[in-house]
Amino acid sequence: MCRTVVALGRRTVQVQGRWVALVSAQDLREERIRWITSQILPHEAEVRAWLRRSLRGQGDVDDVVQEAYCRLSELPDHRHILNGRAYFFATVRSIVVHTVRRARLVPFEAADQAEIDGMPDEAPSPEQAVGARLQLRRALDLIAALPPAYRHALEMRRLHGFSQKETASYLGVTEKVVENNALRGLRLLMKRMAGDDDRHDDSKPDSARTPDPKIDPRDETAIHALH
Amino acid sequence: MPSIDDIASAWAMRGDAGVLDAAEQAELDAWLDADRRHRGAFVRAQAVLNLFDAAPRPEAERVSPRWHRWMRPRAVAVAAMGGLAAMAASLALFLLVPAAPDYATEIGEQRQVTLADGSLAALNTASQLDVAYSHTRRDLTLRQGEAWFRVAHNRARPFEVTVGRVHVRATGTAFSVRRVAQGVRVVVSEGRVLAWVDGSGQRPMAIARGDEALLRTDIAVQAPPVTVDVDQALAWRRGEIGLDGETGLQAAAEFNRYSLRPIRIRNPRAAQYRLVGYFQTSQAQEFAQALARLTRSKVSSNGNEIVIE
Repeated sequence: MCRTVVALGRRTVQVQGRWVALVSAQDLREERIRWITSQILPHEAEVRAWLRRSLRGQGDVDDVVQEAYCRLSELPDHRHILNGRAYFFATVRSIVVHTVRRARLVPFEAADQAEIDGMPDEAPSPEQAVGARLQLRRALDLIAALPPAYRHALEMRRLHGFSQKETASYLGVTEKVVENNALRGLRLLMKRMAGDDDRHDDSKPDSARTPDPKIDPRDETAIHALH
Repeated sequence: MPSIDDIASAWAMRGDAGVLDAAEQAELDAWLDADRRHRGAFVRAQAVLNLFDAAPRPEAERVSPRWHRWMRPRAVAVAAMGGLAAMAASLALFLLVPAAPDYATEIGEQRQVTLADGSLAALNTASQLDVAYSHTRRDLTLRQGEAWFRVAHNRARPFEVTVGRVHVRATGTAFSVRRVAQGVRVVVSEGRVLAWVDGSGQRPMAIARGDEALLRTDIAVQAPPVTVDVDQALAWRRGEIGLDGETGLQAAAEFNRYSLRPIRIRNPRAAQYRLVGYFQTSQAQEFAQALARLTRSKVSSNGNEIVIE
């Protein structure tokens, strides 16, 4: 059971003179995903690069990363985590040290202990906070760099709330095409978030497109309890 | 064989497209329960999909709800007592005249309302707005005039403003919509909107922050959005008129939206003179005098109009 109370939306009630938010499990799940999107996901390429160096090809980077996301999704609360990047690194390190190594699934010849110990686990410095925003901006640039057909299919739905049917009718294509393009776009974005450079395949983006300079991602950390 | 990521992404898309039926949900649950990596990959796929929402959007409004004049507690009690009579009367009225708009302003009046979902609507002079919210949609109709909206983010309930044949859709953003002779003018101050004209066969146009678009109902192909000075375009929200090179004639038309005593320009020099600056919407007289001084013309005013000749 989740004991956390997170202020979401306007479903608030007054209890003994204090405002308390009513939160459903669904809300909490969505809130967790939003946190992962803004605080964890932007650092994934860096974490994977570290993992590749550490595992030296002797463990599956994907396995560790998936386990890490699973753990992050199971946290009872995430609001005490000030530095998503450090927490992500610490989670991955713990998986490597305690699971992969102990189970002897792979002989783990780490990365120097020093490198592990040198990983950040303090509260973010202003530079790191700026870094998180830069990383998120980079992630948003990846959206801008998607092939237009994929990007449109995803944006119409996610950004503008069009149904698949509406999207199909406005783009003048079948629903199946919208569905396929959205899925291909998502898969491509997942690969690129992992830092896989596959930009020379058939999904090469239109070179005339430049990322929207107006994008100015905010740190989406605005989770606050109402008092 | 599809990879874990392939399966996870397909489930994330299906879940996003709509509510899964019981069989699908059971299938997804079984897949998630089978392996922790499945759960991780699914969460990650959802997070990547969420990047589309991480694009900038307006901060949550901290405006306390306002009582409308007719909603004050005492007024509610009175309304309840008069309820039956009012119901009978409104039923009779309903059959005779078109329904009154949900929100309206008189000439020269401006008004700000907080809507049921926490979105904010600011109505400019001589405007009429209808609001129809359901569980799945937030539909608004601007019958006339101009309005600015700050939309409370909710992707599951699209916020759509209809102005005649023109539609403007947002999920969380801030923008203004104005009915003009040729169509509808849209200015986006935060985030992004999609706008389109019914029956035009054209794709919806994405209008980004800082851009303005004129959606014309009299031609088939729309001009792309242009960058504008949003502060000036939305000066009316501060009770001001922002002028940036408009002619005297255009500026007078702007002032006349706010006044029952219109400015008439009969002097061609004054009509063509270009102006820059901010005026209070209520300062029509001062504006006319300034324009007259600049163009060495004469102002005369009576109770009905202000004439520059």
